[in-house]
Amino acid sequence: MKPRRLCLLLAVLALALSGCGTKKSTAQPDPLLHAYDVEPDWSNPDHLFYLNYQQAQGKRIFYDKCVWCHADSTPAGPSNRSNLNPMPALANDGSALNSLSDDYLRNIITLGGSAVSKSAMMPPYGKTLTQDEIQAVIAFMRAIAQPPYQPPARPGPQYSTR
Amino acid sequence: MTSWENTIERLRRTPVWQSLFRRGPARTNRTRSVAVFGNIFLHLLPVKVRDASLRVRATYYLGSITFFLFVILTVTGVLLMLYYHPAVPEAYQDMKDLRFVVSSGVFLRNLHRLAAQAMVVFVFWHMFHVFYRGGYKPPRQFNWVVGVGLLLLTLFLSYTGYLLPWDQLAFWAITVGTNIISYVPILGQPMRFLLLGGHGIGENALLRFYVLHIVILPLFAIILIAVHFWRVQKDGGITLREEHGRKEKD
Amino acid sequence: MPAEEMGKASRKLRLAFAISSVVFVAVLAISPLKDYFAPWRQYKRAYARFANTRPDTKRLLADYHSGIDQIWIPELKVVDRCTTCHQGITQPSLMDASVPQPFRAHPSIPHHALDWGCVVCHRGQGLATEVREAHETTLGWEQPLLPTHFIQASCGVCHQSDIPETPQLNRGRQLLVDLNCFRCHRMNVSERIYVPPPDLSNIGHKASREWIYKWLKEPRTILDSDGNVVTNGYANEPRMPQFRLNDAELRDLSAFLSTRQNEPLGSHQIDPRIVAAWQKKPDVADQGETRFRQMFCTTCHAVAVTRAGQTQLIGGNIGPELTKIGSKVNEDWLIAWLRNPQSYFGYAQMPRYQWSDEDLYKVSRYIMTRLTDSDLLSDVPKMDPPTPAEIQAGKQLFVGKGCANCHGIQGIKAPKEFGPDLSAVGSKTVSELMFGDAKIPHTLVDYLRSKIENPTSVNTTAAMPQYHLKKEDVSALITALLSMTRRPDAPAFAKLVVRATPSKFQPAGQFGELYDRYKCYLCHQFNGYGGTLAPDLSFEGSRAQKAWVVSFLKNPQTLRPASTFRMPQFNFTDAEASTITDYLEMVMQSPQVNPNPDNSSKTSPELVALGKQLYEVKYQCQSCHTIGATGGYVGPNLSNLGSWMRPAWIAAWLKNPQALVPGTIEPRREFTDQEIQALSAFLMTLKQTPTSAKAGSAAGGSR
Repeated sequence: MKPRRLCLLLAVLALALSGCGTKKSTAQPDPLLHAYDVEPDWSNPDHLFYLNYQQAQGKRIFYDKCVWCHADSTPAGPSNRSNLNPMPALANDGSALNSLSDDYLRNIITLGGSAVSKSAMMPPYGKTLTQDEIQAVIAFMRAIAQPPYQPPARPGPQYSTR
Repeated sequence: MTSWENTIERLRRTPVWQSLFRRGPARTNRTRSVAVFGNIFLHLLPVKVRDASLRVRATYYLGSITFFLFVILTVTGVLLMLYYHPAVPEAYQDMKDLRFVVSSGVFLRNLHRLAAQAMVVFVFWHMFHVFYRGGYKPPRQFNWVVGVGLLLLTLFLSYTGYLLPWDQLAFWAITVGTNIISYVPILGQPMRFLLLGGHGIGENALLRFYVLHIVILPLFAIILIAVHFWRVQKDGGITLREEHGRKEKD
Repeated sequence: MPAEEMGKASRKLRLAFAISSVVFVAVLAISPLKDYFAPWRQYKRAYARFANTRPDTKRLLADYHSGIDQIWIPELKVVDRCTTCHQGITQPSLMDASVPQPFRAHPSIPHHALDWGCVVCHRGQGLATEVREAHETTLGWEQPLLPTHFIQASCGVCHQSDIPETPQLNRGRQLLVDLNCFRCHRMNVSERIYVPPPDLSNIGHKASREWIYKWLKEPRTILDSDGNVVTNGYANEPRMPQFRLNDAELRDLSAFLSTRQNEPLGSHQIDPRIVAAWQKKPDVADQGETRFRQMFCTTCHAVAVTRAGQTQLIGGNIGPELTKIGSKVNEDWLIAWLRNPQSYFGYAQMPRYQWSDEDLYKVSRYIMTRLTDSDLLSDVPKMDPPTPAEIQAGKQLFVGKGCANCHGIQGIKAPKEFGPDLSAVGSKTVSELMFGDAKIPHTLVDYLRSKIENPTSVNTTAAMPQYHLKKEDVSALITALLSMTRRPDAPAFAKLVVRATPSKFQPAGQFGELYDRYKCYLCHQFNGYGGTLAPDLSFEGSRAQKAWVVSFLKNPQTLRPASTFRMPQFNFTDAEASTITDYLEMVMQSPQVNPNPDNSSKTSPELVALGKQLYEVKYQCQSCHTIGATGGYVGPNLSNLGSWMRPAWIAAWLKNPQALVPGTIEPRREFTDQEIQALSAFLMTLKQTPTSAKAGSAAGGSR
């Protein structure tokens, strides 16, 4: 056979055989996937966020109180989010939340949606959670945000713009 | 400069100066001797020494170095006493404080410890050298005995000081040592009890070792050192009789 | 030499003296210079420079001085010098992650650092002012810093009962009980609800020798061909670990166990007429499956289900998983067990249901024909009937391998102290641990991890069996073990320990009988005692109306979407249901809810309309609660609230839900009294007629 044809045949053969992969073709999930201080990226489960103390506490409180409306699935099954109109933001939705300051988020969580001209479906948690706990939840949301959250370069202004 | 000398002269004529320094500067051998005799610190030493004894090869200054180390130990020991509590949890914590908090605390403690270890080395070395040079022969037999006493005091000072940091090394070293002592026939057990102030190694043992280390043993050591120096002087100094061909009379 | 020359030192000597003096002074200056350039001073100066770049410099440097900082609490014997380098620990403006260490502030925790010191939680050497000495194991100090992943262990030193802020520790403590660690190792475990390992005095009736052989060799029944457990549900591995037994040992042990038949089996006869009637029917197994589902056996027992190539364990982990139970037990035993579990062994935690013979037959047929795996025992060698020698050897193995510590057998005494005492394992120093040939870093954490993951790694002759745990469970176990430390030195600490309050709720009388028979405490809490799978019933008498409770007990439905499990169908008789309800109503009262409120005059149509408006417009409660067919799926369905709950409870709940059920998802709002009245009036009108109730439960019941 001509050399060129031989090369072509070998290339095709190689391509065909490359489909036979080894067992290790899929990445093994991190063994600490479900630890209290690790959270898989909701948009990409292979990517993990490693949480510090405050963010881990925030995760705990989030899965206790907030996951029912601000996530698409909960430990008990599908979430309440699709029942609501307007639909609440997903907790990791960077495009919606990154532009909001920490103070704004703290206000809306503490005082409820109707206090900041948003839907009254968001209840106020100021009497249910302490300010430290609310700060922890905010820290958790910032940690898992996609696109990632960039904190402001300087400490924020005293009054939030939003 | 004349004005400077004038000032000194005028200073010298004041009653304060004259009460401190009773005789003027010593320029003749006689006045020098009188100065040495009349000084409480200096009169322990001989008025005159043969220059042969000042040569290094005579004694290698081993005894002097040992005494110098003893002085260092005393000074650093007193400074360490300012930080140390001879009580059970505080002792180890004070060691930590010396290391981490006290300015130059590490240096102070290490100096004390190194000087102690060097002193033991030099005491033995001095003893071996004196033996080699025959410095125990008559009329110096008694001084040799005093020296042995000083050796034992040095070793015992070292041993009592070892317990004071109250760390694992200290505790177990004392355990082993006192258990060995308890095997002495008849007197072994009472000796151990006396040493530890009890049956086990605890606060009483620490306190006892502390008092031994800073008062009792140094007191005896100072007394014996004084006797040792005095005897060196009175037994004819450091050089050998034969070097001067003179018969020494006791 | 002439007299005048004496005392004058030679020029050479003077020079030597001068040079040595200069050298001496220079050497003497080394120590003060080292002090001046000490690392901690450098950190302090770096902090001062850093603080000058921040906007709140003055506040950051308010307490700044050039010496060592320490937290000194003499009563607690705390001397912590960590704040010398960690200057910004208490400054709230330095909590951001961009602040370089060691200046970053401590995250907000319930205990203030200045009141407690650092070492009490983080361990390490507080006395030190050098980095290595403070953080690592050195010659002079054997306790290194606790890795922050396990920081909850330090919470557990004082908090003996579980608190919500320490999920990893709580999980670890629960595992120490569930995996029966405390049966071999002495440790302080708080009392909690758990299902103890079964008594094996009569196991000869239950399982065959082959099955016991297989179980002892490999207790996990759901494995793929690589030997990996493929379940990924929330239920755990079987609690039985894997012992390293060779073929001879397996034969001996299985011989011994398969001949344990202390007492005869309980009643296992089914009415022959029913057997005759049902035997021929082809769908008896299907009917059994339906009954199995209706009774919600999977609330306690998980079953593995393969969907789309993935196998998942669906169900609870209170009882063993039942995927292949049909290949394990023999049918007579199964019927005797289902009819009366306590006849097999007295402390069995399975409730005694009111089975009819027909149901028993159907369900047992279903189990024996469907929940099986014909390949389960294919790799078990053929064994002859057990010989006395094998039985005797098996009995010794039973004690020697530690089986007797978990499983009781009549007449066999478990050895005390089978495993080492772990009540102070968190304080162990590295010098107290034997690492053997294991190639792991020599730290306590690595030792514990290695030991739990593979007990023979650090000691080839270890008797501890092999557990197959998820990594986060291993971390949780390590956290719980690290929390078990020696009593701290300062007596003041002993006063600060928050003891676990042991509570035991043991009702008497008829209710007590039912409570024991149906094991309500496995899932429900009563006055602080019980499981957490189902709602706390301590205040149920104040909460629910009597008639509703009776109807619920007869026919449990889904009430709360947030709970994952359903109450099983116990087939209560009317008498039983009313006994339970009467007891709940009389005893399980909340002190904050008036049991006999006067609410006759509180409703009016205006009030109801106001309440409806508040519900729908101002507070939008429908975002979480369903009424009818619309609403949210977070809180319970309120369609029948008027028949379900008492008005006094509703009012107290709206005022402060966390006072009644701490940790509830319901947020606490500051309703005014008038709003509470209006809402209560509106909610009490929500009643379902029986027809609409059926429709409602059909809609709400299916998920």
